[in-house]
Amino acid sequence: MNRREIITVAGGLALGARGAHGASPERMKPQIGDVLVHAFGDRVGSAISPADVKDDRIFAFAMASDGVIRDGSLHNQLSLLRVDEMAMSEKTRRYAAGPFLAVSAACTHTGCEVSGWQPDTHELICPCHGSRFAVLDAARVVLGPATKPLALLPIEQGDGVIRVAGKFSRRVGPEPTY
Amino acid sequence: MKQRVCSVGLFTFVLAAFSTFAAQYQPVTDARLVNPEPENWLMYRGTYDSHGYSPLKRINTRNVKRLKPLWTYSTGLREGHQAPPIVNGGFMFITTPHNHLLAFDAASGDLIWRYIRELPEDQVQMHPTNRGVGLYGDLVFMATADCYVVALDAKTGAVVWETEVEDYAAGYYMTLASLVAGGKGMVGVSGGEFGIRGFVMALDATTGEEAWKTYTIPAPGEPGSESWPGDSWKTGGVPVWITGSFDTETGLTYWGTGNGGPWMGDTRDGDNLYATSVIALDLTTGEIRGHHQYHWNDSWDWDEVSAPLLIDFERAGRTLRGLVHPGRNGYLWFLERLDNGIGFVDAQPYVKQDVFTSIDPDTGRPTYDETKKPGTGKGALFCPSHWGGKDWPPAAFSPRTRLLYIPANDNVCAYMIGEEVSYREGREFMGTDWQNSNLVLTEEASDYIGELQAWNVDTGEKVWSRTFASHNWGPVLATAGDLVFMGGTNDRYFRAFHAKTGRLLWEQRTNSGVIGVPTTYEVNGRQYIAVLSGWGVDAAREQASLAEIGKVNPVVPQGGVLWVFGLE
Ligand code: FES
Repeated sequence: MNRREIITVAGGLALGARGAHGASPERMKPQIGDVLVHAFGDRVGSAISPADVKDDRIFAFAMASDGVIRDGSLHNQLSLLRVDEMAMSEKTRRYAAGPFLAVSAACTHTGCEVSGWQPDTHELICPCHGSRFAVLDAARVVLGPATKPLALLPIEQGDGVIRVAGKFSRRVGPEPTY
Repeated sequence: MKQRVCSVGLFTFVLAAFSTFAAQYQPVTDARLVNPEPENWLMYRGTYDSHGYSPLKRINTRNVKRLKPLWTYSTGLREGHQAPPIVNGGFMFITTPHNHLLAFDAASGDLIWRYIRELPEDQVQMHPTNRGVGLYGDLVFMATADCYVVALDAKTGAVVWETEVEDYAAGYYMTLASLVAGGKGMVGVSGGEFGIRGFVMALDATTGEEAWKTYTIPAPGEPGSESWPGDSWKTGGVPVWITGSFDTETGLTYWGTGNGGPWMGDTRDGDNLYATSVIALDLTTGEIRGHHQYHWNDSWDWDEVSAPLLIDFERAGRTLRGLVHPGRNGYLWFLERLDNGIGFVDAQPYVKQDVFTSIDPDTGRPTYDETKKPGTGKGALFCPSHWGGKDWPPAAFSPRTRLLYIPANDNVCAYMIGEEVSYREGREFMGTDWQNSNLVLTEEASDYIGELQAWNVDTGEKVWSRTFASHNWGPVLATAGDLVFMGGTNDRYFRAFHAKTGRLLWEQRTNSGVIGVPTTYEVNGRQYIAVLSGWGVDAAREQASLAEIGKVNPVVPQGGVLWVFGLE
């Protein structure tokens, strides 16, 4: 074949996904200093106090200092957990605030909300295809089909609230597909 | 609904290659869609009656042994490759998971162009697949995971228009090929696991403007609304994720509908019309002109999304204008197209089914063994499993043999238990306790799970069957060469069977598992068979669930490859 295939990028756009990186503050990733608030339920939008976090997982979003809640994308949603600090791996502890951990709720398989939590085994479980993630070991995959760990968000506690202390440990959600 | 006309794709890019025959593209007209030339494959199942049958016969029972791969093309993508290669006058179009659309020279395998949909990164891809294109005029349509229909110039891949059908963030997505008829492109939405309210939408195929939208769940006050309690209709699911059939004489389109949501029937007490049904929609207005609900208050995730095949069959010396549907619920349904709706003819199980205790001979309404019906906090063991006797892979019908070819699964049952779930927009809304649910095999599962069955539509009898150790996710193609093509098993084979006897005549081992819809076409007098091999989605999920209960299966590598075969 001597025809040469040429590659053009129409519109000159760089490759990348539209969506979660949109400019609106609701869709922006959690920012340093944001306060974690309840994502759902009776107390939706109110700040989570460390005392609220018990055995149950609490779904959280980050709230900016001007009161905007960054709830515009599943990729901003967090599972806030309380686990035994001593049982955490070294890496996990770098993201924790004492016993508290904030883990991305977006599955790295095909992006479902990771809604299952088993406090006795410290596993987050995705309902869509059953992937399991070991929270104490930086949310590594215990059982597929996911192959990549969930992202951890560094947090800190003070003044009775939990704040965002850095960026996600890795890409949130599935790998890009091209 | 947003709709825009594009000169170049705003969120898209196109890999273009020079093509020598771009000028020769033959516009797709209504007349051609009603009566496609034998050498072309212009729509999902080849023809509006959804037979999945080709009149081509250069490749036939005598020479199929000499069938050889002529060219292949690697898509570079993982997950489920299910699209039929759709062919119009030497142009071939395939789609892939994550909404790539590729155009080829159907004879040589040269790539003409490639369109890559730029998907939002936070879109949940619960079912990463796409089931092919629709064609009209000079346009090629793809329904996308972010719930748009995008129309491209068939010759160049340039985006001509795109229309947002629904908001992906609310759990809507699309995986089906458009049904194109009467100048409209019709699509349905997925999202039965995310608390959507399902619908079919028709767009003007030329402009992308909405023509009509018909919900599969009636609103309060509409007929059937009494079958949903309280507000459950708003989030009751009933997706439509497989292309409909079209009766050109009556102007009615026939669509299969999916599960109610959440999965447990006790969360939405009532029949839940029009879940797990076939609905007849008027092509012009979208009005529901008839329905038949295969089973009421679904609690087994038995989506009945495959559109019925339009087959005229004999019963008691009469020819009935029929609808035939091998159900996910394990029954083979024979229905009749009537002037005022859809009539029930008969039904019988084609795999082991232990849920229905009887079928009303007049209406076809089943009664249930309530111990076989899972509920919230109530576990139940039932057969077939939630993947059914036949999931989405389409059956085929040959008018030469009068046989219906069903890609079936038998001997896999499920124990399932529901848990409470509350609706949150765009989040999973199944209400199934997966920790405590699992597959259960019957004793005969060690003999076979997958099956290709052939049923005579006039006698209602099974004529032959081929069985496979593996579960089977293979769409079926029948041809006038008296061949039936199917892959679907985890041993990576693509096979040809004798249409009359089921004898295995040819097989080819491929790169991955073949869950693509096979098609056939002719260019310059040469017949080709084309299929995508690329295991993923529920075929892979079922394999993982089988592994959990100790069934050892071969590893099936992922990665899509288009295979095109011909005689040497
Ligand atoms: S999306 Fe989580 S396991 Fe598939």
